[in-house]
Amino acid sequence: MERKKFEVILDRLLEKSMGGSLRWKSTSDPESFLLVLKDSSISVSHELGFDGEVDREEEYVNFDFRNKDGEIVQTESVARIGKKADPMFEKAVRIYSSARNEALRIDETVDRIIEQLAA
Amino acid sequence: MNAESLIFWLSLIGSLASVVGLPIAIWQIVKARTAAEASKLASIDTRNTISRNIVLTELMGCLRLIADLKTALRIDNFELAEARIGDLIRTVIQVREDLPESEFESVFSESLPQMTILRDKIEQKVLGQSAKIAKGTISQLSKFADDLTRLIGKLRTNLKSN
Repeated sequence: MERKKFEVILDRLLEKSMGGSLRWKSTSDPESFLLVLKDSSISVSHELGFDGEVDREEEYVNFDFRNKDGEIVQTESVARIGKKADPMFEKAVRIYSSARNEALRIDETVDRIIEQLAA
Repeated sequence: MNAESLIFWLSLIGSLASVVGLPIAIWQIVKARTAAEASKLASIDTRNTISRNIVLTELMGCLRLIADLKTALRIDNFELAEARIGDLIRTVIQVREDLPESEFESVFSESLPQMTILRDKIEQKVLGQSAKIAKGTISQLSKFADDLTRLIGKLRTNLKSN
């Protein structure tokens, strides 16, 4: 996929995620969340690693683009290796966090906890 | 009767026969066409009923595969789970192709990517790679089985009303 097209997709995902109009779903992979579109879907996952040889932390946000049958047709990754991060990394992390928040209903749960603790 | 008057009378009889025969011919053509259309519709109906019955059988097969898959996951038998999820994905794709109604599309649009994600996780387990399968997976499969059961109910109702 052209990097420019990927950037357009990330911008739209971020905009809609922040607006709360996307319904991300949890999956059988605890680190992966799914967005179902009309005849395709996108899953976003997060990976954290450590390269012991060079004592360096690595972090990836992966986007899998799936066809009608659910099969991956394209994967795009945005990485942070040590202190060096892809220019789109922050955007990708925000999308992942928003997807996780929406799928697991984290905000709702936390708000309920706060309410119950106040009572 | 001379030859001229014979020709006159024969022409007159011929003309009268044409006037009476033409509407009869048209009426018979229309009747034949209606019968052919009715027979074509009946054949389409039969074909649809057979195809619905095939889909129903495939859907029942999906329910059995989901039950087997849940058991395999509960007992950590990933080889069996891999075989069952592969069959399940293939059958669901087949059902989706066999179902003419797009109203059921939503049942498959989420379940197929969910199942391919699960299949990839199971394959990682079979290969001995470290992979976590989310706790909610069994209940997701149960929810999918419930959706399929509702779909079976709708198809049965449609079959009865036809």
